Amino acid sequence: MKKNILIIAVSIVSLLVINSGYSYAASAGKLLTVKNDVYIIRGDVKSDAQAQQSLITSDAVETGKKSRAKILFKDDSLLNLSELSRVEVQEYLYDSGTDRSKSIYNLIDGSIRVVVGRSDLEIHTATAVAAARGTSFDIWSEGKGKNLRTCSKIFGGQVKFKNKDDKVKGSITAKKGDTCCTPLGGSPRIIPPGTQNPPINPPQTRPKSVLQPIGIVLEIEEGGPTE
Amino acid sequence: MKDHVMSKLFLLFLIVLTSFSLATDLYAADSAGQYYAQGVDSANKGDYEKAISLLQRALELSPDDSDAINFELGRLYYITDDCGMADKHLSAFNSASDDENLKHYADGLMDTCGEISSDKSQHIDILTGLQYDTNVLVEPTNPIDKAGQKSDAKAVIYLTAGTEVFDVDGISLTADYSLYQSLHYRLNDYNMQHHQIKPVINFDLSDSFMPSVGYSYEFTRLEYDNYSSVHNVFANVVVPGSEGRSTEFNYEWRNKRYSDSDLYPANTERDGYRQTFGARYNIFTEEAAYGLFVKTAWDKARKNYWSNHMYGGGADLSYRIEDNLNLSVTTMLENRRFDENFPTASHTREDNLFGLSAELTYMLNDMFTLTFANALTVNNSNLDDFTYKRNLTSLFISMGVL
Repeated sequence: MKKNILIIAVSIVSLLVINSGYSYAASAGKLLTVKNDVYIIRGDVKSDAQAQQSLITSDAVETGKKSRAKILFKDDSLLNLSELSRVEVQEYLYDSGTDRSKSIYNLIDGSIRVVVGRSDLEIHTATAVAAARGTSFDIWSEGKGKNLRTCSKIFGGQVKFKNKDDKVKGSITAKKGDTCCTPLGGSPRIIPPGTQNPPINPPQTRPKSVLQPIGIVLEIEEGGPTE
Repeated sequence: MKDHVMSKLFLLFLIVLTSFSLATDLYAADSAGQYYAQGVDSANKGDYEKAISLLQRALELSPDDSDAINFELGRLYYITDDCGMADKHLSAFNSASDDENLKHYADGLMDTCGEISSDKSQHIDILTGLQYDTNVLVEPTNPIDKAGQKSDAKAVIYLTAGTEVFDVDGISLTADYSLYQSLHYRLNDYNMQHHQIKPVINFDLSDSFMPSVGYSYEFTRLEYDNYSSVHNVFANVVVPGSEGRSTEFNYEWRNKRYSDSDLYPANTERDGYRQTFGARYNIFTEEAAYGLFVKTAWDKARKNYWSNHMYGGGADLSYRIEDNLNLSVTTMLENRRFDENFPTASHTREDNLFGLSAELTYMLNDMFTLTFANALTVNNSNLDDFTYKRNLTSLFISMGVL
């Protein structure tokens, strides 16, 4: 009985995929350039990556210290991995009819720069889901433990952010020039300019006050003269 | 007859000339096409140098039909991190092409060319603006002449820069520097210059306990005179709670050295140190951040009538009205009791200081933020000479340079 249900479920999913025009691509993309220590993790095997090497769904690419990699996908989306980063091709569906893809990449560590091609693209991190179409942005993880958060700088177009945990309400659409951070267990927030590097603790940050210079004045006036 | 023959010869010459010209064009077009095809093929094989060379040749041969060539060249220069050349060819493509999707994509390539700055830990911020102060002259070392309390406008520049020096195994060292300079419109003696150097060591060793310790050196000048220098040691602990809550505890020890000047001839009487203990509770929600804080401080000065004990508390709120509009409000109350009578006073001084400030911040774009702020300070003292009220209205523009 369970077997029959499984077969029916797989058939329904297959039909849905076929009817949508999207299908799992044999090759999702390839490594354009590799610099220094870059690895491909396929299944349980970790091997040195080579330029022009093909990537398939569930492959992960990892960069070492002072290493970088550029990945081009069939839909012309580009992922640039900076050092000490790891990204996994979680899902890649390609529609040869429309020449578009639906893709999900899992940023496990570090930072990547993304130029979205003909794709409905999602980047999943430990804390956030970023959904993008026709845009370019950087996205990176920072902090540890309860301080963990995902931040992103948008260069063009729009990227929609929400917490990876569906129980956390709230989403935000970041536009060109915005820096958006999504903390663990919190809603995404736009970080005001001038506070691009806010301290990680407390877990979510207060905007830096411009009254701080006034604070200097008030500080030295305690019990004494002021300006 | 002779004219007829000449006409035929001329017509034949024209036909030959046109055919030759057409053939040359066709040959050139074929060559450009071939170079383009070979260039794309080389690019697909990962031989980017050869691909660029072939596409450049194609561009030379067919400069008037160059959209596709410029686009491919732009992409290749992007891949090889030659951002100047990538910009040149992608800009040329964008100028000539009608394909909005590809133009958008080319914009993305131009915006993101080059290495990712994985080092997000450096910053330079500049804040500048104007302030109007209703009570510049507050001189507690001498009895205040109420009539002498003056208002003045001033320009302010505040520069902050910082970097993460290292981050190894959960221990990081950050170093910050700030410079504050005010320039008064009338009361130039009160032009203040304040420098602060602040290294901090952060320990990120545990999910439930995040300590940091630091030191800062502060140096202040008023116009041409030294005013004070302060060595400051502090420790901070953050204890994260659940659902966006956290508690902070902090300790601070300040060693203060003042300088006498014409403006403040008895300033060194206040040399000494201060210890402060504080606690803060934070609540973060989707739209707002709330904080409640308490603190107590002991100030020990060379002359005991400057020594005092302070305790106080307050609350602050930061509310995001729109994505680019933020309102912050802070209120605080402090009680300060001094250890001994002032020489001219018959009883011991006790102050109650109330502060209320609000600031409205509007993000203009990715670099600039505009802020309107107002800070009210009211000090009620049992010695009338030390009672004052001060209102500071500010208009700032801040810029995140890095």
